[in-house]
Amino acid sequence: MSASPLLQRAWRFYSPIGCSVPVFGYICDAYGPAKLSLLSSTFFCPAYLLASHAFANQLPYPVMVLAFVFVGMGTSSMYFAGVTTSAKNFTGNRGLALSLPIAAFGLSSLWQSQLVSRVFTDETTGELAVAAIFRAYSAFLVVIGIIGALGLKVIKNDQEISRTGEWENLLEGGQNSGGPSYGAIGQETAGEEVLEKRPLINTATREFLGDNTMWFFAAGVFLVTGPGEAFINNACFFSSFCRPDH
Amino acid sequence: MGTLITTLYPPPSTASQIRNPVDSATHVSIVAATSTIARVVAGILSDYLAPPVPTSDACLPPPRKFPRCSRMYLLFSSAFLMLLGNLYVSLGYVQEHGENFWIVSSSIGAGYGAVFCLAPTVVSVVWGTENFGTNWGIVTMTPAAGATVFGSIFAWGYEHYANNHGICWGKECYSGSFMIMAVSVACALVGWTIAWRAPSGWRARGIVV
Repeated sequence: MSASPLLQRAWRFYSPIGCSVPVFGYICDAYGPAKLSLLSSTFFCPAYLLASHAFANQLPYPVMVLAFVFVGMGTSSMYFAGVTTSAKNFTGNRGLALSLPIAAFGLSSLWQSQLVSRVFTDETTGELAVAAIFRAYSAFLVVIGIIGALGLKVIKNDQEISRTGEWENLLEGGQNSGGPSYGAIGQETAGEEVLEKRPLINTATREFLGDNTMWFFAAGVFLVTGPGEAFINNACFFSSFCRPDH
Repeated sequence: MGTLITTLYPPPSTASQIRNPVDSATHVSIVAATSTIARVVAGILSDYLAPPVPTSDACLPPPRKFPRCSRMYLLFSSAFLMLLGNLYVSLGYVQEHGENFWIVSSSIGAGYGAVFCLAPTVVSVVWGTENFGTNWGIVTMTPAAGATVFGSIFAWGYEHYANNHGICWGKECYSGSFMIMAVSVACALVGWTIAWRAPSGWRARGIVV
């Protein structure tokens, strides 16, 4: 899509900002994927309408940036709604459960760029009807978000909960929720949870953030995906919708 | 990648009339295809080879004829593939050898794709699925930062060796930045090994990854 370099820059730099907001994963854990999927519609619809309006009327650049930050937030909501539901429901095949939605995310940008370039290209001038594409996306993604809201559901897996003793301790963690200092923290939170049903940072998250191995692991992810993203982004200089998403 | 491709051959205006045979759209497709295939393959392999996540039932899974392979080894292999791709570029093997560029796009594409599938799997195995959204949300903030940091490193190297018109071609334009990227991937391997094997790491805590 070679609409305009400015548009490409807005897309490349500002939609990842929206994508990197960690709160959507939390929303999915706390309120469920259906609500998150609906939330993605409420981000996508106005964001793409704004982008379409901004492009058609040559509005100032920050308007496009704002639209793309919201597109990024919508993308992130949809990604977490799909991936988290899959991870929570298919605990027996975690690898495949995560790889399929993530692979589908990557593929969607491929087939959609093909479709868009065929349907929305002016046959005589060869130009892309960018504003129309954005309007189409705002409608299409509302429908997808609603389908997600109707279909996505986490079915409680009793076996997994009891295996870590999470249920008894009111704690949510993986195999990692053991350890010497754990009991004391667990009881403390049990008290807290009576007062407040789901604090913004619950014990499991606090434990996750306080875990040294998490920082080493996240640093590794940073050091590996950074070069990968840099390599791919330099290709997107020419075709901006090619980015295989997370 | 597009910017990288332009550095491999002299700009078309110069005396040598060789046209850059590397089509960036083709390589975008190679990256997309290999990363998608790698994601699915890594997902299937990690389920098939990796040790099962323990359940509440005391009974052990039936013994298997072939050995188990930790998810971490799969993660290491994917990152190592990326490291090789970065080294291959850095050492100049694609300079004026655009026909070999597919080696780079497929190794980096496959490695990157597999890491993006295996990393969340490890998060779900180590820290559980109940809080998976929040946990993976925190870890997945890093790629955006990584894209900025390593994109800047590449841009800096390119601009440093660019001519007066801001155009750069030749091995120097990218060799240093891709060496930094290869070293960065190597550091990641060390970091993951620490998380896994250190005295207070996952293995010591009895976590089977």
